[in-house]
Amino acid sequence: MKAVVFTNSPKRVQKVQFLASRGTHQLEIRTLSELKDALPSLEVAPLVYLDVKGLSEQEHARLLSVIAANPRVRFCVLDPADEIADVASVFHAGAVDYIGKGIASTKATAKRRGATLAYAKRISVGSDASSPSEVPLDVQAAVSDGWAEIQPGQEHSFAFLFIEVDEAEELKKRHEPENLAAAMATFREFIERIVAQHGGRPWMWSRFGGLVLFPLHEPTPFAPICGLRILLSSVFYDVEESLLPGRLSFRMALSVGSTVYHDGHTGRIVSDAVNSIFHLGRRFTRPGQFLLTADAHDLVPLQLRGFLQPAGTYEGRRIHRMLRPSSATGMREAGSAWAG
Amino acid sequence: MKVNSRIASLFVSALSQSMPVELMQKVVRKVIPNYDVYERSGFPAAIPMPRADAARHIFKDIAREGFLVKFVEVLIEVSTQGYMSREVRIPLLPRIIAEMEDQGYRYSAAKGIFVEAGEHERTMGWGTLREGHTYEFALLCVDVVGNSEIVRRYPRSQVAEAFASVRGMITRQVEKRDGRIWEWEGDGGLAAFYFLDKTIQATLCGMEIVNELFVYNLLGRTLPEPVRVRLAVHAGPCRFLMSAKESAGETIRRAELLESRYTHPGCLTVSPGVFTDLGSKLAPLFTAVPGPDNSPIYSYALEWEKK
Repeated sequence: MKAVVFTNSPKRVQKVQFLASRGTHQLEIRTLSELKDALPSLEVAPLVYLDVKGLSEQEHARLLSVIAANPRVRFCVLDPADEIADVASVFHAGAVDYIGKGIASTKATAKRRGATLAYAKRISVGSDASSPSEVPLDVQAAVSDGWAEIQPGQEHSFAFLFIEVDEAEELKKRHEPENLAAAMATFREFIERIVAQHGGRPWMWSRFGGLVLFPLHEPTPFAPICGLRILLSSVFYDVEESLLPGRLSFRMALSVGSTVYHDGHTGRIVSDAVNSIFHLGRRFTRPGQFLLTADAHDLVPLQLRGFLQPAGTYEGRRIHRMLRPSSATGMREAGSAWAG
Repeated sequence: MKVNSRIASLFVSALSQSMPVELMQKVVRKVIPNYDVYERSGFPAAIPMPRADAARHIFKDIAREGFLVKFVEVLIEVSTQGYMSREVRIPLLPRIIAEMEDQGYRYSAAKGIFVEAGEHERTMGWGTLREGHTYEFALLCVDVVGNSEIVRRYPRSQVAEAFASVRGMITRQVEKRDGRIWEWEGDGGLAAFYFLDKTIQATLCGMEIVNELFVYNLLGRTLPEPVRVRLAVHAGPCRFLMSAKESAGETIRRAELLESRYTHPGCLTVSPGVFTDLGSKLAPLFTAVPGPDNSPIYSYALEWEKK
C-alpha cells in the first residue's frame, strides 16, 4: 500500500528508516505547502504521514485539522525528534498511528502496518454509512501488491479464511474415490479463482478444504467481500462446474491474526492464529455457515454489516454470522433483497 | 473470413486428396442444399470430373457465397465423425484450421463451430452467423428501472458514470458466457445467446447480473440510490441482422414484454420454455408468477434469510 509523506524536508525524510524500508515505489514525498491541494486527490486510500519536525504546536495542530477535514484520508504523525509532548492529542485529532523517534529508526513491519490499518478500521465505525464506498467494484484492479511484501520465514498479519466441504464422510460413502477427488478438484479451482480475484491465496489445503490467506495490509478489506462473493457464486459453481449431482454444501470462517509464513511445507507451522481458525471452522461453524470473529467483523465494510448477526461466542471471542442468500441455500426464503 | 491464395490452395488439396467427387458433393450439400458441381461448373455430367477440378469449383462456390467458415466446420465434423459410417481422413485439415486461427478464429470443439478469438474483436454474430438467416437464440432483455427519474434527480455526468459502470458489468457478464450485447440504448438493451445450452447460459447470466448489481449497489455505487434493473429471458427463432431493432420479430417482442410488464424491479423472469430447461439445481430458485394470458412465468430475485 502506497504512503504519502508531507514534510518540510524531503531529503531528511528519505533517510527515516521506518519510511525508507517501504521502498521508493511505495513512498511519495511531498512538501507541506502541497498538503491542502493534494488531499482531495488522495482520498482513495494511501496512508498519509505528516512530518511534524520543526513545526510549532499551533502549526502541526492546524495541519492535522486540515487533514482531518478529509474523513476518508487515513493519516499518521511522524515525529522523529519526539517533539510532541502529548502523543494522545494526535489520536484525538484523528490520526491512526504515531511514529516517534524510537519507531522511526526501525524498519516498518507488515505487522505494524496491519495493526495500523486494523485500528483505522475500528475508529471508522460509526462514520456515515451512506457516504460513497471506498470499495471498488472491480476489486482485481485494486488488489495491491500485498503479497510482494510477504517474506517466507517471517511473521505477517493475515485475514484467514477457512473453507471446508460439509459432510465429507457422507460424500466418501456415496462416491467412488477417484470421482470424489475429481469433484473436489473442481471445488478447489472454483475457490482459487475467486480468492485470487480478491488478493487471497490458498495456503494449507487438503482434500475437502483448507485455509486461504489475505495479506492484512491491503488498502481495502477484501477477505469479507471474497466470502460474500463465494456465497453468491456457489450456485454457478453447482450448475456449471460441480461434478456432484446435488448442491455442494460448505462452511466458511474468517479471522484475523499473524503467523510465520512459509511457501509450501506448512506441516511444521506452530501458530495460535492458525489453530484457532481451524477450531472455529471445524468445531463451531455449522454446515453452510459463514462465521466471522470480532476482528474479522471490523474488516467488514459498513454497508455489509447489515448482513451480519451475532452468533454467540467461541473461545471467549464474539462471533458473527453472515446471512445466506437464497442462491446459496438452494431455495427461496422469505426476506428482502435490500438492506437499504 | 479473408480468402487468399494459400487458403484456396490448401482447401483444394485437402478436398481432392481426401474424398471422391461424389462425396465432396454430399459434404457440400450440408452447407448448400442440392449442390451439384457438374451443373454449376457446366462440366458434362456423363464424364467423371477430375477431383482437383471439382475441388476448385467447390471452393469458388463456397467462398463466393460466404460459406467458407461453415464448410470448414462441416469438414471437421466429417473428419471426426465420418460420413454415413464411412471414415474420412482429411490430412490437410489442421493446416486449414491453423490458417483460420491466424485470421482470428478459434474452433470451439464443445460448440462445433468457429468463434472469434480476440478479446476485443467481438461482433454480434460471433463471426459465423449470416445476416438475414434465422437462428434459435436465447434473448436476455435488460432495463434500468426508473431511468427518467434518476436522470432528472442527479447531474448528467454522475448518471452517465453510473450507467456506464452498470453497462460495463452487464457486458462482462454477457460475454463471459459467450453471449453478445445485440442492442443497447441508454438505460437498457438486449443480449443474445446462441451456443449450446443457450437458455441456461442466458438465465445464469441474468442471475449473475442480479447478484453483481447487489454487490455494486452495496459497495461500489456512485449514485446516492441503488441502480436496479429488470431482466427477462425468452428463447425462440430470430432473423439475424446486426441491428436487433431491424430484426424485431415475435421472440424479441416476447422478451421485451416479459421484462417491461411482468418483471418486478431487481428480478429476472424466464418464460415457461426457458424454465423447462433449467434442471434440478436452478429451477428451485425460481417462483411461478402470473405472466401473459394468465400463463405462469418464473421469477428469480436475490433474497436473504431473515435475521
